[in-house]
Order: sequence, then C-alpha cells, then structure tokens
Amino acid sequence: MNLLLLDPFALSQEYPENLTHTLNYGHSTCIKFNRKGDYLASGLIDGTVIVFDFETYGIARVLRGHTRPVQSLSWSRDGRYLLSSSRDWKCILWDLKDGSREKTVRFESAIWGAELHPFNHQVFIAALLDDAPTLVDFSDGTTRKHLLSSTPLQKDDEDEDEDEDDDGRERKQDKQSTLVATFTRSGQYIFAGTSKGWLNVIDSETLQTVRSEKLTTSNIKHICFSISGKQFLVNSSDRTIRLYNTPDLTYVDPVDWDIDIVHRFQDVVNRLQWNSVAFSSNGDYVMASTYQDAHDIYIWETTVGSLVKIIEAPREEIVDVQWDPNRTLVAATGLDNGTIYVWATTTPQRWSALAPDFVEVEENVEYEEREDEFDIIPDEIANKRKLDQEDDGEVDVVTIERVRGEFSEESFVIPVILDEEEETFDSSDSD
Amino acid sequence: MDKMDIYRSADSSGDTTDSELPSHPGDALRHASVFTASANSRPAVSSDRTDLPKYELHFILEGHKAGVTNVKFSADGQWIATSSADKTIKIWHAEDGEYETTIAGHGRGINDIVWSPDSKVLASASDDKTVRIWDVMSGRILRTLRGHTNFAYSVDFNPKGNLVASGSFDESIKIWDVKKGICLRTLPAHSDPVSAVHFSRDGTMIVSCSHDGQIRLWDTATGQCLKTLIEDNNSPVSCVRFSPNGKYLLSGALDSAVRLWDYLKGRCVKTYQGHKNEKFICVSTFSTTRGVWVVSGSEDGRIFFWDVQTKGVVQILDGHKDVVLAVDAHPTKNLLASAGLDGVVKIWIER
Repeated sequence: MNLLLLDPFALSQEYPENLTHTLNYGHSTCIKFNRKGDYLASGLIDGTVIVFDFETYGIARVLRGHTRPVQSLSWSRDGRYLLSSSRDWKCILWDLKDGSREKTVRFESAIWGAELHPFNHQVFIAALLDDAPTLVDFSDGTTRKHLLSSTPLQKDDEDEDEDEDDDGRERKQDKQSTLVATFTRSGQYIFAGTSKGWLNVIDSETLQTVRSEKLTTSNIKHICFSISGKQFLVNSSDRTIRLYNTPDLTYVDPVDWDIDIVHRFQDVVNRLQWNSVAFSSNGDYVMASTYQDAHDIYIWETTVGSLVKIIEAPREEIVDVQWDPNRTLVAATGLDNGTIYVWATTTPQRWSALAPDFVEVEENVEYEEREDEFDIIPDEIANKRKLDQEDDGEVDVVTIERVRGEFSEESFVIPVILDEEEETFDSSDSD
Repeated sequence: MDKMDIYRSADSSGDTTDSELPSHPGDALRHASVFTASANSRPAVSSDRTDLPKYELHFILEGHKAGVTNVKFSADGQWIATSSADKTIKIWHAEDGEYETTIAGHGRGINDIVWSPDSKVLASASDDKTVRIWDVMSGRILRTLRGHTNFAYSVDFNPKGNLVASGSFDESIKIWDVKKGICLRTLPAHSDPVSAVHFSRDGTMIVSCSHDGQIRLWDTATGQCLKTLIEDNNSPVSCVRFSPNGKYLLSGALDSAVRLWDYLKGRCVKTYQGHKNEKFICVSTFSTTRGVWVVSGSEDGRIFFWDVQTKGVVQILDGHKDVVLAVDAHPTKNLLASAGLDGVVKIWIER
C-alpha cells in the first residue's frame, strides 16, 4: 500500500548496496525466503531450523527435529509449511502454526536436497545420494515413494524397447546420479540435473522422463527457476552458470521444446567455482556466491549478461545466497561461522514529504506570488470556499483495490507467542 | 474486586436513558436536517430514506471510577475492552455486556488501548510513560515497553501482531518489536504531542497526527516520512485512522470537524460537521456493517452519525452526561460502543 507514495527513484534501485543487518543464531548452512519475503528460514549445522521475522529481524519459530546439519529448505506456497532435509537422512514437514511436525520421511541414503510441490504441500521431490530421485506423496494419508529415473531419455527409437536386456543402459544408470531436482512453477514437470551434466525433465503425473538434454559435461549442482518461471539457471562444476529460457511447457510437446541458452556467466580471469546461484525478485538479475578465497557475490544483469556489481562479504566465504522475492534485499550465509548477512538499499528521506507544499526541484525556481496570497479573508468565507472545493464525487472507503506490484496473495502469518520464555540470541544492527 | 453494577439492558435503567434520546428515527432526522443545513448548505437528508442508521441503547457498562478514554471491540467481535483514567482496563462480553475482568498495573491513567489481531492480547498506553502488553484472560503483563520520555498517548498493533507503534507527548513515535519487547525505531515525528497512530491494512504504513496540526504517513520498514497533510487553519488534530480499505484517512480536529482525506492527492475530500469538539480527543470511526457511516462523539455528550458521501448527519444519539471521548464499531454486527468522560460505556444496537 505504500508503493504509491514511495520515491520512484528509490524503487528503481535494483540491486542492494549496503550491508544492513547481520543475524547470528547458531551456524546457518542454508536459508530460504517465503514467497512474500517477510520470513526467512535458516537451517543450522546442529539440525535446528530457525524462522526469522524479516520485519523485526527477530525469531518467529525455532524448530527442533534434525540431528545433523540441515541440507535444504522449501516453503509451501501459502507460507504455512516448511520442508527441511538434513544429513540425518530425514525430511521433516513443519506446520508453522504451532511449530509441530506435520510429517517425517526417512530415506535409505543421504539427501542432496528436497523441494515441495508448488501447489501441494503434501508432495515433494528429493534428490538422494547414490539413489534414484524420489517423489514423495502423502496427500491421501499413506506415504508413497515413487522412484524416478536418473537415466537420460535416448532420442533413438531403441529407447522404446524393453529395458531389462539393455546392458548398456543399465551401465549408464550406474554411472549417473541425480544431484538436484526442482519443480517447474506450475508443478507439472520436474527438472532434474545429473552428475554427467544431463537435464532430465520428468512429468510429475506420469513420472516418466519426457525429455533429456545434455547441458554440460560435469556435475549439475543447482537448478533454479526465476519467480515468473520464464528462465532458469543451471550451476555446474565446470565453473559456468548457464541461463536458459524455459520452453513453453503447457502447449508444446516435450520433444519439440527449444531449450535455448541465453547467457553463460563465468569469471574468466579467476576461474571461480560458484557455490550458490539465485535470481533477483524481478528476474532481471542473477547472482552467485564464489567458492573459496574470494568472498564475493557477483550480480549479472540478464538481458545483456554484463556483470553489474560485486558485493564483498565480510571475512568469510559465502555459501548460500537468496534474494528477497519482493524487495531489493539479499541474504547470504557465511561458511566459517554461519552468520547471515543482509544487504539492502538505503534510501534517503525525501524532503518534499515533510510538508504538503514542498516540491523537489532540480534547480532554482523563481517564486511567483499569487494575486490573493496575502488577502485577508474572513474565516467563514474561507471555510465555505474550502467546503465548496471538496469532492462531490463518491468516495469508496470499503472496497479493497489491489495496487500493481503489490504482493496480494494471502500469506500465512506465524502467530506471535509472547507467553513462553525464548532462548537468548544475538541479532545486531550494523546500520 | 469491585462489585459491578451492570445494566444488562437499557429497559432496566430508565433513569440513565436520557429523555432526549430520539424515540424513533424521525426525531433524529429532524436534528439531522438542522445540522446538514447549517453545516454545508446542502439539502437535508430526505426522510424517506430507509437505509439510515437506527441505533438504540442496548447496554450500559458501569464500573470505571473516572473518565473512560477509549473503548475497543476485539477483532473476533467477542470482547469489549475499555481503558480509563482510573488506571484500569476492563474487559466485557460483547454479546451480553457481562463484566469479565479488570486489568490493573499502570501507575497512572490509561490513554489508549488496542487489541492484537488474534484478540488474545491488549496493548495500552499510559500517562506513566509506558506501553504495556497484557494477556487478556489472565491479566498478566507480558511486556512493558519503556522508552518514551513523556505520557504515552496512543498505541496500535500492526496486522501481523509482531509490531506495536506508540505515539507520545514527547513528540515521537516509537515502533516496538512485541516479541523481544524492545524499541526498533524512534521517529522524530512531530513538533507537538502525537495524538494518534494507526497502521494501514497491510501494515506497510503508519499514519500519525499531532497537536501541531499535521497528519503524517510513515513507511513502517524504513521509518521515513512519506507524506504530510495540513489543514489550513492549523487546528490540533486529535485522531486519525485509515479507512477500512486503506485508501483514505479519517481525522478529527479541534475545530469541530471530522475530515476524510485522499492522501495520495493530498487533499481533504469530505468534511463532517455539526458536533462540538474543541478541547478533548474524541475518537471517530467508520461503521460499515450496514451502510457506511462516519461516527464521532461530541463534547455535548451526543454521538453523531454522518453519511460518508453526502456529509449529512443521519443520526444523533443523546448518549452521555459529559464529553463522549471514543466510539468504536463492532467488526461484523450492528453494534456501536461509546465511552464518556462520565465514566460510563454504552453499547448501541441497530436491530
């Protein structure tokens, strides 16, 4: 609602400039914003999950259930449920209404990461170490685990033949494993990246691989869609981040999809590896954190592909980076002590807001006195004039109108509990 | 605990029902015509309108030993909270007017109260310079927010219930983190006491008003001033609130006028007149459960209803023996609560 009154120049600042907050609560290993961007979940090295309220930078929930470091986090669409996966081989779905465990799912191997279906919080996909990626569905009460294939679809017709006798194919499967799996925005398909650089697209209904594409020769570490879903990023071990246009998933047959590469982002001088990648809130920028010595976050612009900003992190290597989905704000976790750093824009006060007759001018303007400026008008006449000037039109004080650019979805509000003693923690403002 | 004298219904309390109370809507309309004609030379509200408010006395809530400064229905519509200069808050059932409990703890009189969005917690602003957060059912203090250097005058919860804003006689607004009980931000807001603060529907803005005659809009996240509105005669502004949809502001000033502002255009679009308000803070509000009315108390003890569009007075209730300091409308039912300097709270109903 404040958008219409904000300084348009302040709103046009598209990437953050200043470190504004640091949050210290345990050693954070991964972070995730909810869709509205008012809460940030943080997974700790001891398995605890913290939900920060990003209006107060205080703690909204402390969730205890994992015994090993948290590996990934995923919010449900409405922000009520949070899925965490951990190195204790468990995935837990939390209900943030009371902090209870809605569901715990155990796996037979370590988990790379798990992500909730964008529209159904009772379905999620998990990428497992040395095992097939698994789609877990407990929407009808019983937990079903559907194993998905890591094997790329063969374009030749021989792929349609029976698999059992196909030794070559089985060997291939042994060699290849899925490292990352993510849902498309509609949840219709799963995009999975393998250790051999293949992108497998799996239909989330039929669970069949419908398209495979070799994007690179090395590991695909991360696949990430922009908020609109129009583009996606692939981070791979070959030190290159690839930006692709998402094909038309709804109307075009998977076989005919054009998976076009738009840009390759890399640091050709330092040959850096990228720890983590993310889109900006509007999808116009892409950012990545650097591996090892350079403690930086690189921000590229997506239309031309040019590097626009390098944010220098204080002291430590940055592991996970996230961009607030509705604001120009970046949060990142440090490797050494797990501090969460927050960069945002700082806007100066507009002086014209402080009085109704103040105007911001570029250069001096000669003031012209109005004819009646110093006339003495009796109060009654002045009052009458004022009332006559009033709007005779209808005013609508009840109907709620949505302003463009405003986050208008219903978003779950985590109840504020004042009655219990919370643990102590440190959160310092550095602005 | 004091023994409460509660009139369960208006009929059992003939002596307190003012004889000037309009007995049927027609009487109110006659008042209405007089005031609309004098106020803005507009044709009087035609008496054949059937949609006019027809509020009548429902309950009288007695118990406070000094003036009642504010009255608020809870967000779930179940409770009424009243704050008083006698240092206490009292909780009543909205359904039957039954007295529930008294919350005490403030060292001096209480100026303002507000319910949390979940209707379980109250925040109060007091002359003892503190803002306190109370658990309603147990009456326990959950947080005491210290920091104002003079009387705390007004208080509001944001819609998520994690922030409280308070306005003070020390001319500042403070934004508090409710959970941690600490001040997040102090806004050097005005050059005179801050008489009211109110969060917008989505919590992104705070509106404040002051005796310096200004109404200011603030960005909750950055604490920056977004807009300033001033009425030409500079009369002290005593209350301000967002309209239910957040597009307009309703303000009351001590020149006996309630104004509706289009804050994007920065101008007053409607002025509601007829009541008397020159000295006290008379809290005005919107009533939207049946029809859309602007309601305000008056220093002559009456309660005025205006039609939002025509600015005409549509009903007058002869309610209190002294100044009516606050009115509040029930979130869903056709109920109105009024609080007076005479220490009495009245609940009005439209059947």
